[in-house]
Amino acid sequence: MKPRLSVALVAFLALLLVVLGVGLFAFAQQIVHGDVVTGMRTLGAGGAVWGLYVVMDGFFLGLGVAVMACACVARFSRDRDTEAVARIAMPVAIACFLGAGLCVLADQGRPLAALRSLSLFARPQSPMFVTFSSVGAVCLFGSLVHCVLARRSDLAEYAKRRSVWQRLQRLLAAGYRGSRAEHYRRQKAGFWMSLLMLPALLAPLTALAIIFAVRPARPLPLTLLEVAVFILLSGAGGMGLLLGAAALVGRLAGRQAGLAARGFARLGKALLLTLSLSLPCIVAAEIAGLMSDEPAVSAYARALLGDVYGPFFWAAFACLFVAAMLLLRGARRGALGPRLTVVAGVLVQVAVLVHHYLLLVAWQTHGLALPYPPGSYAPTWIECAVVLGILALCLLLLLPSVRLIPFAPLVFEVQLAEGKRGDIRRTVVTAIWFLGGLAMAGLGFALSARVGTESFLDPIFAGSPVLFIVGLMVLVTTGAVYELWPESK
Amino acid sequence: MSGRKLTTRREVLTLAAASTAGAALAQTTRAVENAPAPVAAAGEPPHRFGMAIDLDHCLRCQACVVACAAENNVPPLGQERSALTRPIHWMDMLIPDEGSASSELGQGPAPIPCMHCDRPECVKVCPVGATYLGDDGVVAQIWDRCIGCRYCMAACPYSRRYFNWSEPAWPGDDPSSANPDVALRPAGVVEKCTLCQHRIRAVLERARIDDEPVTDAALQRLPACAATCPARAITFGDLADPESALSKLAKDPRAVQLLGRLGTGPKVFYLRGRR
Repeated sequence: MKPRLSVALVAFLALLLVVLGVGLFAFAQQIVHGDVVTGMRTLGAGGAVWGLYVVMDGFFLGLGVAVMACACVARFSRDRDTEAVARIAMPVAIACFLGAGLCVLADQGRPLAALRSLSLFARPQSPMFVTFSSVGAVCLFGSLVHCVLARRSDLAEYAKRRSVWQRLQRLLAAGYRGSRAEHYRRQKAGFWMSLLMLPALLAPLTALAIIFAVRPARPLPLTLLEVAVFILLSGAGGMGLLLGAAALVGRLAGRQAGLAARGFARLGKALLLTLSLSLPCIVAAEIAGLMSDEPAVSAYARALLGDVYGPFFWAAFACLFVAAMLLLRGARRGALGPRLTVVAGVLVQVAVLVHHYLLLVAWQTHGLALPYPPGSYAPTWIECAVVLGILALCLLLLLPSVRLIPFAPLVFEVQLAEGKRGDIRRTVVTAIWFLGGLAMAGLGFALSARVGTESFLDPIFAGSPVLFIVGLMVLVTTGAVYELWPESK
Repeated sequence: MSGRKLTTRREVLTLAAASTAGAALAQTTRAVENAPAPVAAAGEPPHRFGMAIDLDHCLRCQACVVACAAENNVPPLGQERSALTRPIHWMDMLIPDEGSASSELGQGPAPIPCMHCDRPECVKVCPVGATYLGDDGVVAQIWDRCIGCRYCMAACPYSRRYFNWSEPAWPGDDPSSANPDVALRPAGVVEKCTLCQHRIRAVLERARIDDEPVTDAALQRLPACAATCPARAITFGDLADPESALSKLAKDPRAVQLLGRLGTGPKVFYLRGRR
C-alpha cells in the first residue's frame, strides 16, 4: 500500500516547515543576543522574569499529563469505546511532553549549560527537579514505551503490508506471535504500567502547579486553591484536547480509527465534572486573594479583576462557564455528541491557556511583596515564533508517527486470555528489573538530595541525577521486560 | 588503536562505553573542582555576616549604589539598555510606588542590597545548587553553574536578584578596568550581592596568616557600599559576635527587618524612626 499525500497535506507540511524554520531563526537570535530579545524584564523594574515559555510549558505539560492519564484509565477498562481513547491519546500526549520539554529549554538563559548542570547537580529539594526528571524519564520515555507496547498487535499486522515504515514496524513488533498467553501478558503489563504511571504523571504536574502558585507572602489557603485550580484545569484542558484529536482522527482516518459516540459522551461527562470542580475553586481563590491582609496578595487579586488583566480573566471564566453549561445541557438531554463536546473542549483549552498566563504573569507585575511600581509583560515576536516553532516540530514528529502506528486498530483484544502458569523465570527477571530500577532511582535520589552536606549544597556524587533518571527509565520499562521476555520451553 | 579497524560489534560497544565513562569522569572531576570553597578554616568559629543600614543617617545620595557597581564589575547600562528596564544593581534604591501601601521602611527611598537571609527562598528553589548559603552566612552564587532558569528571582520576596539579559557591554568594549578580584558574569546567568565576599575572604585570610583574630573595626566598613557611604549609615559586621557593633545595632529598638514576617530571617537590619 503506497501512502499518498494529498495537496492539502503537502501544503500543511510545508507550512509547518516554514513555521519551524522561523522558530529556529528566532531561537538563534535569542541565543546570539541573549534574552534581551524577549519581552521579559527584571522583577521590580517593571517586568516579569517568566513569560510565554513557562506558560506554554505549564500548558503543554498539563495537557500531556491529562491526556496520558485518560489513556491509562482507558486501558483499565478493556472495552472498545475507551480503547480508542488510549490509541489516540498516547501519541498526542508524547507530542505534548516534547513541547513542554522544549519550552523549558527555550526559557533557560543558558540551555546547554542547563543540560549539563541539571545532569550533574540537580537538587531534589527544588520543585523543578521533579518536573525535569519526570517529564523526560516518566512522561516522555514511559509514554513511548507504553504506546509501543499497547499497539504491538496492530504493529504486527501493519508490518505485513508493504510501506516505507515496514522495517521499523517489524522491528517494534519483533517476536509477536499473537498467542493467547501473549495477549494475557500484554493486558497484564498494560494494566500495571497504567496503574504505576498515573501517580508518576501526577507528580510533575503537582510540582509545576507549586512552581506556578507558591509565591512569597501568599497565604496557604490561596496557594492550595491555586494549585488545585491549576491541576483541575490542566485535566480539563487535556480532555478538551483529546476530544478535538478524537474528532480529527475520526474525520481524517475513518470512523473505525476514531472514537465512538459513546466515548465522546463519556469524555464530555468527565470534562463537565472537572469543570464543575474548577469553577468554584477559581471563585474561592479570587475571594481569598481579595480578602487577604497581605497588600501584595490583595493587589494581585485586584489586578486580575482590573483594567489590565480583567478582560482576560473574565473571558477565561466565561469560556469555562459556557463550556460547562453546554455540556450540562447536552448531558441532561442525553445528547453529548462529538460536535458539542469538541466545541466545549476548544473553549476550555482557550480558558486554560489564559488562566496559566494570568497565574504566572499577574503576580510578577502586580503582586510583588515590596511596593515596587506595577509592571507589564508582552511577549515579543521572538517568543511567539519559538513557541510556534516548537508546536510545528511536535506536529511534524506526530505526523510520521501516525504513519508508523496508524490510529485504525486491526486487532481487538477484549477478552482476557488465560495466562500460561508457572512461568517463574519471567516473573523473576521482571522482579529483578523492577527492583533494580527502584534501587537505581532511590540511590540517585538519595545522592542528589545531598543529605548531610551542611550549608554547602554540593552533590555527594556529581551526576547522581542521571542515575535517578536512568532508574526511572528502567522502572517504566518493566512492563516491556515482562511482555517481551522469551517464553520458556 | 594502531590503525586497526574496529571490526566487531563488541569492540565498538566497548569503545563507546569507555568513552562515555571517561567523559562522565571528566565532568565529575570538573564539577568537584568548581565546588565552592569553605570560607572559615577548620576549627574556626562560624561567622554570620550581615549589615545594618541607618535610614536616619542615609542621605539617599546613591554613592553606595555606584561603589557597589564599580567594585563588583557591574557594567554600566547606557541609555538604550536603561530604556529596556533590565537593570542590574546589586545595591539599589527602593522607591515605593506612590499608590501602594508603605513598606516597613516608610514611603521614602531606601537602599536595599540582598538580605542574605538565614532561610533563603532562592537557595531552596535553585534546581542546581548554583546559589548557596555559605558557612559565613553569605548567600553566594556560583556563576558557572547557574542555568538561567530565574526561579530564584521569582522566589526572592525582595526581588534582589538580577539576570544578565544580554552579554555585559563595557565602555569601549574593554573590560580591562574591571576589578580582578570579582569574576565577570556572562549573559544568561543570575547575579546578586555577595556582601563583597572577596573582601571578606581577604580579611579572614590576612588574619589567619598573621595569626590574629579578625577585629570588628576591620569589618565595619568592609564592603564597598559601607566603605563609600559618606554618612557612615551602613555598618557591616559579624552577627555571631555578640560584641560587634552590628549585633548591638540589630538589638536597637529602631531596628527592623524588611518583610521579617515572612520568616526568611534577613541579616540586613534597617534602623529608622526614633532618632
